Amino acid sequence: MAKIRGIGVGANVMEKSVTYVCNTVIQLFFRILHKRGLDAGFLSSSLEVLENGLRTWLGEQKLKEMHLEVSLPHSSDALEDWKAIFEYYAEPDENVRKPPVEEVERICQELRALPAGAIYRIVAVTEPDASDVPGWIASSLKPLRDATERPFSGWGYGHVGAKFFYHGGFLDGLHNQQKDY
Amino acid sequence: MSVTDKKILVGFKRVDDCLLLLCNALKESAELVNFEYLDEVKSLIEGMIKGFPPLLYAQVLESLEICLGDETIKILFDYYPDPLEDDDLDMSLLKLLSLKPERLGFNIILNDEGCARCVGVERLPGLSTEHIEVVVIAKDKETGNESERSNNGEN
Repeated sequence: MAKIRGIGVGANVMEKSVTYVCNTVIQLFFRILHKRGLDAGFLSSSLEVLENGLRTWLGEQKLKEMHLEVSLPHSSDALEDWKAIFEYYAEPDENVRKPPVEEVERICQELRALPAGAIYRIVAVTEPDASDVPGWIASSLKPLRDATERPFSGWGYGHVGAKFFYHGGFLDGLHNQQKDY
Repeated sequence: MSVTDKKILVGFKRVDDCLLLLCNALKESAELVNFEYLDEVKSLIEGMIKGFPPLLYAQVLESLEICLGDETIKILFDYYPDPLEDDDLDMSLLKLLSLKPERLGFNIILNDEGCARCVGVERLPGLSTEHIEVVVIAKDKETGNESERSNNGEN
């Protein structure tokens, strides 16, 4: 009698899901820094810490949001905030959905320029019981004044998905898509 | 001159793992053509690869060409592969060719020069040595036309 053998194609889907979303979040952040005229040196030199955080918390399914927050030095308010919100699925989605890179770049082109000297930082929002990851310190997001919101298409693969948003006050001429706070 | 296409799948792999595979494939290709200055090329490859993580994360590396005399191996970076697909970095065909290049070249082809500059591509061209040339080539996003940059980083 013949034996039927198989291999679970989903065996490493979680690993691939985490890696795909981790890689694409960092891709979006680099693209935004370029289009917004911000120095990518800090992000380039922080890749190991950022990747460790993303991979750990996505793998634990404890990462809720990841922000690229732009502000002026010594200001208590943010100028703008690019936010990824993560979703986790028990049943993996086998479709590979691409991140909204072109949409984000197009909006970046339409935004008014940031003031000279603007800086940025990366802020993660996790569940309280998420693991500690070296290099990450307790922090809080700076408030945004007079901000509008612009959502982008979601993306992801397997067990992890993400949605992306712009919040800030640099959106001229996009009144049909913005929401006032 | 003939060009052989190879492919490395980036999307579902850690960048460090991709770069290790790429590094090994580049070194193997130099070994298989019996390149005389093996230590020189291995050291250059390691230096070049060190500058790649931001370029790979930003997805601005379109391909990397290894110029071995009359033979060119073109490694394409596939950022959105089928999750079940495998890399194609088998360099064994080089064993069959009687190549003994006196010089080697690496062409780094970018799909977005502006973003590549932002994430630090400028450090790469200075890697060229007496026997190995590293050239950065920017490809126009709209037209697909290539503009070569000299190995001192000037347009």
